[in-house]
Amino acid sequence: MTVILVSSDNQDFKVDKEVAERSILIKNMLEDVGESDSPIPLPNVTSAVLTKVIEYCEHHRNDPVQVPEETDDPRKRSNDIEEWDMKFMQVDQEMLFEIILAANYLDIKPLLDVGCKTVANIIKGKTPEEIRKAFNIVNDFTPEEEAQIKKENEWAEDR
Amino acid sequence: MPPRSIPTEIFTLIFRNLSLQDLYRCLFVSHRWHGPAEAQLYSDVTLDALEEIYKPLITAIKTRRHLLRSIRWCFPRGCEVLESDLLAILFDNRPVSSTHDEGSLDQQPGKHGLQTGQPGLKEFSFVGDGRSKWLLELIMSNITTTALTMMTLTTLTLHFAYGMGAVTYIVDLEKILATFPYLKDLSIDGWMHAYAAAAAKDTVTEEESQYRLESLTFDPRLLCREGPDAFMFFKRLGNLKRIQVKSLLSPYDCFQKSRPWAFGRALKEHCPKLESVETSGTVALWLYDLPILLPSQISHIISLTGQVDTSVQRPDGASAEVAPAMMTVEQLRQRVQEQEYKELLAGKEAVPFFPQLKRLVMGVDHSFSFQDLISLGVQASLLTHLEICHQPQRRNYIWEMYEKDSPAAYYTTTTTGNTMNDALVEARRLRKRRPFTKRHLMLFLQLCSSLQYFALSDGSITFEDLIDSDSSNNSNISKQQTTAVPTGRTQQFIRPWACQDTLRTLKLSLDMSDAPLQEQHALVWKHLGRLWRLRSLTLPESSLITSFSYGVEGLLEAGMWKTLEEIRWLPAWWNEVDRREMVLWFARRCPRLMALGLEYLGDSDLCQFLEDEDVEQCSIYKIYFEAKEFT
Repeated sequence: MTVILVSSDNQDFKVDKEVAERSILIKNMLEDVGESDSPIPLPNVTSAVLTKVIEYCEHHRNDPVQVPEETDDPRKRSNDIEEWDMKFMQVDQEMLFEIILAANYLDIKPLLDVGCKTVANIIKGKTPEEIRKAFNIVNDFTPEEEAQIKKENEWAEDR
Repeated sequence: MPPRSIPTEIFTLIFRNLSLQDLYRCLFVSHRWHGPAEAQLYSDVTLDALEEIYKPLITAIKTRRHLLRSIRWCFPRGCEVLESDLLAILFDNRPVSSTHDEGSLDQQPGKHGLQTGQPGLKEFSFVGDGRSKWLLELIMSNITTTALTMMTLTTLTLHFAYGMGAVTYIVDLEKILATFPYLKDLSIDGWMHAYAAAAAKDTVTEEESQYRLESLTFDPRLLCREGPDAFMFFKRLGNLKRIQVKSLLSPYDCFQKSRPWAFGRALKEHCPKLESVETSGTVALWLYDLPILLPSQISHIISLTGQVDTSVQRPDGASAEVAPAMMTVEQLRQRVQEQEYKELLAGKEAVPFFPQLKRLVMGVDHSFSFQDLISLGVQASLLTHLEICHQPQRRNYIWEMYEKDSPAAYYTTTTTGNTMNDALVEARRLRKRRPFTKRHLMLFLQLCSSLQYFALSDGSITFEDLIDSDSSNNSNISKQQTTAVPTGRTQQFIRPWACQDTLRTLKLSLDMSDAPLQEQHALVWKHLGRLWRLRSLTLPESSLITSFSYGVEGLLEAGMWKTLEEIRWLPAWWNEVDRREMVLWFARRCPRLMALGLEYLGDSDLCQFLEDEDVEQCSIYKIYFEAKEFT
């Protein structure tokens, strides 16, 4: 069985129901609507992003449903990204954040996790200046504010 | 793209993957980044650092208490904790007297305190020793009056490290439960603490709502509480799902003073959702209620004593020849025990304390008895997980326990004038527990039909424990159901386990030193093979021989090859050629086998074959030698 997804720029995407249901948002919608051929509009997702998201869901269509690991210390969860996912995430930064936002909107937790881990990996080991450069951010702190932050949080500097 | 349009919740998800150092650097990136980075940095704080880090951390937390979600306080070494620091972090700094006016309290949070309705601290764990005892006392005496911050706790862990000194810390369980209405997980264990006496009756009324607590970890001192209200607090713990008893108590204190009957009855009455019970260390816990019998209820046992020949007991303890119709005291003991076994099998007398039990873990020094084990096998239809330590407990304290609160305990049954007979009858009447044997464990497995996980530690099952033979009295089992070996004139066979269709994990040590024959090994392999849905098989310190001539094929005959994912501690103490052949055979036969752990025997020459091309390229993802110490 297939469903039709419609992106914000009005493009139709025909996908297997099983693939579309990787998105909890779509899964719940389909459950609410029941058997129906009507297309599902996704006004927050462009066709470029939706193409990527569907590619991810196709590849992971047979994955077991994730068991939440709330008890784990999140800091101990290392950058354990699968090889395929790692390559999948090799996109420009704008697309990376678009995928994250789409995964958040469509409620695809594994994709959201992979996206956030990818961003975290970009941040890791960089100085504040390097981080700003990596994400094209302007420093809006005054030197006094910086000194204050440094003073208040000095305990964490070398931990 | 500057992630300016990224919502804060996404920032939080990204920052969860960062170390403290990385988070520290994120603070400086921009105003937009500063907030979420700071929230993450202070959400989960461990106070166990050295002085130079500890003091600035305390200072920083004082103005960021609203960000704290989890604190682990591990008695900071070598630094002086000021009372005011502690209060500033954990409590609202309002004078205690203001708490009299409940109405205004909610409107006026402390200087750095929480606004009502804001999320607060979720987890607090405290590891204290002798030097930090006062800290805990300070915390505990303050929480009930001023701790708006801690009201929201869902997890509270108190661990008393060794060396609390001669002073005992008194835990007021009722007060803790009343103070933290959102608590789901409460854990109190370690050295040198005691439980306050149960609060007076008026604290528990029918109308009072149920607490949310789902998991409770405690020390067996709780089972030593006295008085009719000792376990009344369970009345409000109807949501409890798991209990764990962690003990450092001496056997004398534990088994002399515990009241497992009262404890069990309270749980049965008030905690219908309880499904997991776990113990470690000396713990007096019963799983079944076996009320003491009145003398009139054991007339059938007393009548047995009439058949005992008491005149022939010699002073050296050996019994002289007796007339054929008469029994020795030892035979009487056997008869009494057989009779008790039959009653337990009928499942009428023993009433379960935990009727919903799904998971049971009994660590070292438990008081798990033959009576509990057999009743569990007969009655526990929901039990899926059993981990048990077989360690014959010779301390009499355990097996002398009986329900001292029962009025029926004070009857006496002097019947025969023979003290040994009387002691036997009296022990039966008082329902004294006795240790189970490995043979009883096998009986249990023949009875319990729902198990998915079974692990036995500290004890090996011998061939003799496993087998029955035709000449035994109980051989009324159908021959089709058994696997048999003809040994001389009697047929040896192993009865099927009731859980053979459900078991997924088995961890068992098999000692075959009493069974050298190839057929005997083949019989055991075939018996294990009945567990056709097994995913994980662990055979620590086993002397079962893994080779074709000893019938290893039997293991996969009934279909286990389809499900087997892991084999650990595969006995492998023969030559390299056979080892290699076995490994390749398992690889060929079991498509889902991912890990194969071989017993290591300290001879690295015998491991060379693991580097061979065909072994390296076989379908098993991980082949390795087990570390020497088995845990």
